[in-house]
Amino acid sequence: MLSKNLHKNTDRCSGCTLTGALSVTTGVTDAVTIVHGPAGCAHHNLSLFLSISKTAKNSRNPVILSTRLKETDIIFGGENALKETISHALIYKPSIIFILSTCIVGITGDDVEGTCAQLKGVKIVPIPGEGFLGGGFREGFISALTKLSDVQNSFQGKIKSGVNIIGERNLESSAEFQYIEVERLLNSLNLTVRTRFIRNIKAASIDLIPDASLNVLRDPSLVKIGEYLKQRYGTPYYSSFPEGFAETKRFISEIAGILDMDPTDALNYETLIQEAIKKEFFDLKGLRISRKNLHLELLTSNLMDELYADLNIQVTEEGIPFRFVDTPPVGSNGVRYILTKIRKSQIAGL
Amino acid sequence: MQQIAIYGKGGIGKSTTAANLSAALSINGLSVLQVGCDPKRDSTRMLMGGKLIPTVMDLLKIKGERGIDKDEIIFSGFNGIKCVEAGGPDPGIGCAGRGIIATFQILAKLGAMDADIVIYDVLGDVVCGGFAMPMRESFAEEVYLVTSGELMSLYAANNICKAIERISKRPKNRCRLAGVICNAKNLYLEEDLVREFSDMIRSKLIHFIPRDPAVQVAELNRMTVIEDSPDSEMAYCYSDLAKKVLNNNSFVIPKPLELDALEELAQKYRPL
Ligand SMILES: Nc1ncnc2c1ncn2[C@@H]1O[C@H](COP(=O)(O)OP(=O)(O)OP(=O)(O)O)[C@@H](O)[C@H]1O
Ligand SMILES: [Mg+2]
Repeated sequence: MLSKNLHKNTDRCSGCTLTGALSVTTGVTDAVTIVHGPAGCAHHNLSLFLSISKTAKNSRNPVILSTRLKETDIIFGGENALKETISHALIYKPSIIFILSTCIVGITGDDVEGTCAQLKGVKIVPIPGEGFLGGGFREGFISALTKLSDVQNSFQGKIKSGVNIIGERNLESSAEFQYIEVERLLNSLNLTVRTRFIRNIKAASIDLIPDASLNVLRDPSLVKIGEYLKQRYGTPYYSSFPEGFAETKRFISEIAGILDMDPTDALNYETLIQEAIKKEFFDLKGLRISRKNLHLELLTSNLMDELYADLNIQVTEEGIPFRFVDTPPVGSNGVRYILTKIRKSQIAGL
Repeated sequence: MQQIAIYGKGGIGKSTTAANLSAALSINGLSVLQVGCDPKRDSTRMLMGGKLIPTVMDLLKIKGERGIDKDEIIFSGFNGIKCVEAGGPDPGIGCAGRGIIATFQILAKLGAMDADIVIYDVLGDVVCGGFAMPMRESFAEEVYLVTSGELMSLYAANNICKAIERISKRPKNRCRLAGVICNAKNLYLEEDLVREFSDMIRSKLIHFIPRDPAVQVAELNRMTVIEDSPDSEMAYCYSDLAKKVLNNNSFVIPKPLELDALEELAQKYRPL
């Protein structure tokens, strides 16, 4: 049945807006995040968040506080509860405080911006997290990044160098692996990473955002943020991490193009790596794998077409059972990773 | 127990009418409870000698729901009339509608709706679900609309009809429109106009209250007209209303008008 109310017809990005925003704000290690709403909103999101972080082997212990709104705060406004929670947050000596508003304060119309503006001495960033405004996890994620791309003190016009990584998917178990691969690709062009916006960084690093010569977005859904930073600081952007061999090479050559560099050496090196991978997994040639347990994004990605072209590996209804529920892996080593997994399934099936 | 709710455009005279109605009913020997459902908290002022009484929401804020006692929120006013004010947030903050819901829950839990007749005086329009609370199950079964002949006042009354119509469709709901009270602004053929409006929405004009300075004089004396000038024409007028309310037995689901029809009606009574 096609019902939009059925839970199974929602995707992973339709989760609570707060979770999306939290996945960003908790990436700032010296921050406190305040969830402005009933205690349950913070508790539920935090449990979900911690359990996902655990599988993502990302052992962070972010400080998350709740304003614990009760009925009287809804009737009379929750601004006092917010002020009290902010003073409590100061105990943790945060470099920055994020305020995530929940649905109910969006309805009652608490003036979060106005309340925060009255408080001096610590940087406070309100982030809209009202799910009923439309959207879910993804919108919360983008809304948090957008707000954070706006908190820098004005740009000093310094000499630009290095690359910012924008919008890493902190709740994906392969997030760190994805980063390492992209960093490797950038290094092959003699580029270094400046700010990971936002993953495991200090608040002070956010101020360095304007200094990079390029922003690399995790995926094209972040183009708005790329455009905003380009407009504000003149930093060009590349719109996605690469998936598959061809995109990886394009990533190298196009980034070199943007920065007016010569990609020849980096490309030659990448070709060697890709050839080695093909050779390493030559024995899988002609294998049929079942589509049953594959992430939709993976099924529709170029990566699977490449596996077919290079190694005649086909996704079919029958095929050997193969489980891969993550989004498509990144870079040449991502291809290697998925091939390793396929081989494991093959061995298990023998 | 008879429970009635009074709705109408802001400033049209709901509280004045409610307080005088309460006063007249109590003079007739009935026990009366008037509940102001408006954060402005001024519904019962004329029954309380001009005082603003502490509100249910004030107490909820200070004591929490469990600590509230009946006699901290029910105050005895003119002729023993029980007065309650819901109260609510300061203007521009919080959620007044939720305040009304909370008030009704507290009153119900305390068993405070206890009188021969309970009158709910509700603010302006039915702006959100909270202000429809008095019309919900087990509260007011009779709604009176207070309106003048002014187009915008009729427009507001018509909108309230929409709320009554919607709510009356719910299973078990017994809330009905009990009639229209014309609180006059001394307009041309005003009584005829409001009567025709009442008929069009399938209700009836149950009473006409003229505009009379005695009302403002009483207000300046911090009283209802019933208390201030019991032998005046206005006092008789409100007593008359009280009798009609007690004897009324025609309650309907109204049929709200389209704006066109409403405007056409107003055109018909265009001042010469
Ligand atoms: N019949 C009348 N004759 C003269 N003055 C009147 C009459 N009815 C009401 N008034 C005056 O009109 C003013 C507004 O009345 P009231 O406060 O009762 O309106 P309301 O509908 O309760 O307003 P709100 O929507 O703000 O609660 C008061 O000053 C009152 O004295
Ligand atoms: Mg009033």
